Amino acid sequence: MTLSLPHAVFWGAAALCAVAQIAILHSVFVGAPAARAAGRATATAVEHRVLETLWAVLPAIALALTLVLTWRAVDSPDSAGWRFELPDARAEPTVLLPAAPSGMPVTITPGAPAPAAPLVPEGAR
Amino acid sequence: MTGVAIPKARPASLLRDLVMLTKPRIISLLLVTTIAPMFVAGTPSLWLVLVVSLGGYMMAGGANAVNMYFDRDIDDRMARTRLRPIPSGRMQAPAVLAFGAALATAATFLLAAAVNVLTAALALAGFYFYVFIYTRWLKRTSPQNIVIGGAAGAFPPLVGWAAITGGIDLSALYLFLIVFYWTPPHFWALALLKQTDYGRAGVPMAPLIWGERETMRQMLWYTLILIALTILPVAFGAFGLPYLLAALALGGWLLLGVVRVMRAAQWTAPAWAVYKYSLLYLALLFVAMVVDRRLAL
Repeated sequence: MTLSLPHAVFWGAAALCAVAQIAILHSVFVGAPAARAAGRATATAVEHRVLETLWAVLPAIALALTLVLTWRAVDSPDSAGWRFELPDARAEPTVLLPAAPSGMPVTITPGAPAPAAPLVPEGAR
Repeated sequence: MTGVAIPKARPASLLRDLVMLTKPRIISLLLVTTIAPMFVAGTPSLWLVLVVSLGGYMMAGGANAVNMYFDRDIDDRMARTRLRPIPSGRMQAPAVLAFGAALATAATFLLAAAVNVLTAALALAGFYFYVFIYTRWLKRTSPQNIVIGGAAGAFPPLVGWAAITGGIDLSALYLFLIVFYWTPPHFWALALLKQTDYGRAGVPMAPLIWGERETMRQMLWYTLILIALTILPVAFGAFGLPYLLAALALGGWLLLGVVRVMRAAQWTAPAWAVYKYSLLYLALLFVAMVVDRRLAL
């Protein structure tokens, strides 16, 4: 099974986001209190525990939702605003083509071995 | 007043003070993150770029002026802010508040009339977020003040995007998140350097509350997420290979800078370097987006 570049970019970046966001939550809930307890902080604030939890969790939720939306976009045939219509309907969407020269033929390689098909962007027909 | 001696300020004209209230150096970067998305989303006319720039400057300038009004009690306790017009006694606080509110009001009408209502609403939302969520609420109560407060600085890309498309989509959301996750490593580098100032003013910045090492660790994690967010738009076709290479190179250099801060026994110079480079980083990243889009046409 081969991984396309868009999928590789998505999964690599998503994994990085997940690891780093978990580390941030760990830092807020474990590392920071430990640093305070050890006297490494020079000031203390009257912290509202519920709100501090909320401030830490909100960006994580937003990030997770964004990754879900991104996955849908990566997996969508229309992800780059292109729709490929081939007789055998076996073409893979090439999401790294956000804009191709209007009127120029674009060649894609279908999933199964077959002759490359010339395509014309929608709207340029 | 706290009894801190105020250095004798040079006589300054009213106009110069009014410009100072808007914090023009900060706004220059905000304008880059406003205008670049316009060229990513489409091909704007020069007129539209000028109107959005003017409206964006007025809205951000108004927010900065109102921020100086609310922070006037702590500005004279910090070396880097005590020469501002209010703590130095050159302007009266109510006049500064009126100036800021007038700028924001005028910007709202300008953007709504000359661009579209969504653009005006987003710019105004950024104003309210900065003034009320960041300045009035989080700045003095939470060590995560600039994490959540950073959302205020992330509105300009949405403003630029909406000015061209009339809406917000996934690409625009990424521009927002990029600025949002860029803010902590950028601002905490400064907070590490200015923590004495912040401590004197009673502002609970992360280095004071969590300690320096914990803050540096979080700078690293935010930088890693930032790098991931900058390359994710490539996955759904928003940008191509030239942008991907630029984002990786720029992000890699930022990451290296943060690691240097963490590993240095004397981290003052590396922290300054990260703070200054992070400004350049954001500007160049947005320029790379525009170049990538232009190359694709």
